[in-house]
Amino acid sequence: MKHWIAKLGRLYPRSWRARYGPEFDALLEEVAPDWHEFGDVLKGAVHMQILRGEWRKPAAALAVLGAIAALTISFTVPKRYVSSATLKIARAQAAPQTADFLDQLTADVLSRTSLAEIIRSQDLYHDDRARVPLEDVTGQMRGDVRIEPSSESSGARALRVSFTYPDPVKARTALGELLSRMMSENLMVNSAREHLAEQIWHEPLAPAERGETLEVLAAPSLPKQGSGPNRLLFAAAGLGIGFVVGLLAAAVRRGPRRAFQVAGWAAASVAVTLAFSYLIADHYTSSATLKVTAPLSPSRWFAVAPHVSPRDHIEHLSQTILGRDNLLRIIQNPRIDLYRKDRARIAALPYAEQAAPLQALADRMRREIILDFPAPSKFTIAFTYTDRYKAQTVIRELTTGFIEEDVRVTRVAVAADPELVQMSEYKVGENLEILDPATLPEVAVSPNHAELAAGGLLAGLLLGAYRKRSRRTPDPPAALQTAHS
Amino acid sequence: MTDPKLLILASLADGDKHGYAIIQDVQQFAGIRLGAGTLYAAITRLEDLGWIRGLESEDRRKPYRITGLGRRSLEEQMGALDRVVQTALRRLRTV
Repeated sequence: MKHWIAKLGRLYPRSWRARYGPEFDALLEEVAPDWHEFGDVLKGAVHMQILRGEWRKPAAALAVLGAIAALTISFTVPKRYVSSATLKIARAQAAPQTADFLDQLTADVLSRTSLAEIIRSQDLYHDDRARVPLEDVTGQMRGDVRIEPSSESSGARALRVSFTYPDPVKARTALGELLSRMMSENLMVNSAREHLAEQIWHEPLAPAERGETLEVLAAPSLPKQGSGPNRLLFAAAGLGIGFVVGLLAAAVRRGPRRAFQVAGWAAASVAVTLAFSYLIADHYTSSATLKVTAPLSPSRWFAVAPHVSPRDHIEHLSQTILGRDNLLRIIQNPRIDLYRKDRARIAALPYAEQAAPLQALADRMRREIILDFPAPSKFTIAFTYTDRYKAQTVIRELTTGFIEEDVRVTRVAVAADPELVQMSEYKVGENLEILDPATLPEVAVSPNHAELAAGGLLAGLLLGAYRKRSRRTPDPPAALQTAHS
Repeated sequence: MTDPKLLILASLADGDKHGYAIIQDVQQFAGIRLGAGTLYAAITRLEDLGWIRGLESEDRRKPYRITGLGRRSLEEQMGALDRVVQTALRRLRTV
């Protein structure tokens, strides 16, 4: 404790230490070393830094400059306009409330494919599209669209749909297209369901099983007043950044030679880390999104199959699709040909010893596959690999596998029901549809060179600071002896 | 009566003392344990005010002496404190 309290004494400002340092150190050797003393010396150091520290002027000046610069920048950020509309959801009388109606509808309309079409047709995010992949731009648009339940309107449920964009006219037009897609998707799904029911059972769907319909209550508005960025937040961020830069500047001013040496360590560390990161193979992630639609006629389907949630259904299918046998089949597929070096190593082993390492390879592939459920009735499957084309092919293979397995499971379930067996298509169960097909990744997900460089920078700064400190302030043996006595 | 500056002036009123001696003296006459950080924050302030001054010493432990200005300030503060104490005691007796 005495040692740490003595270390705290070095946190006092340099000018203060020049005057009081020796006598203060002598006192610290005499006082009882405990937490009370530790806290008191720390408090004193902070107090003195605030009163006498040389960092105050540059830090304060740069903090003010930062705040002014951030405020100036905030005035150049374009305003954003919110266009909104209201939709009424009309349900068939006595129909059970389908909790996932909104979820199913938005899954289609806000899919990557659908948003990409709107972005292109309305020429949205023009500058962003030039800089980042379209996939990222669709993600940005998804964040700018809000679909939320609104208050009850004449006994029916209502939805408030809004879109925020820097151009008020484009905000309204794009929202109009989004709404028309929602309406036509809703109409198409409902008529397809009824048509299919007629074909299968030669009778219309029961009223309780008919879908909900959408009507426009309030058309998209043309926003008049836009909202600018949060200027207070901008100023606070500028103040904080300026303050930190000021502290660094003060540190450099106090010891330019030392700061230069620490910077040298940091630069060397960044260079080594970056060189190392470029030796690691790039990894790419391809993903696809699938929608799980509700059974065409829940009452007939649940008579032959147990009622499970879409997520449980997918997890049941994944036991086969993501099982070791299927993954090994994909790995060894000559068209895909994954983990070639590892397989060559395994192939060199005696046949009897190949099973375990092959299973380990399948387990390794399983760890690179991520199943995500962003909404109750849709799921995303992603796979990461060093070859982006192969990553995409694997995702295609897996999505096809899920759809085929779903059909197979449905066929097995309806096998005992002659009426259902006669169907040309097995649309009675939960059906899988591809919302967004497998992507061809353009940017590697790992190694993250920027993160590694930042880590290297930090490590270099710490190492440089530690080296300089340990060189600069060796404790005299006599003082150490007194301190430990 | 817990102001470290006042306690230090009171401690130095009867003679020069270095930091550790002040801590021990204050502990003895006031029952208050001054931390090293608190003590030197107060010493710095008292020197800035010109109420105490450091003396030359061959030892690392530098003694401090109360100045005339410091003595007057201590007397004023004690006088004010004394008036408060006397008033409070008198009022307590009359209730």
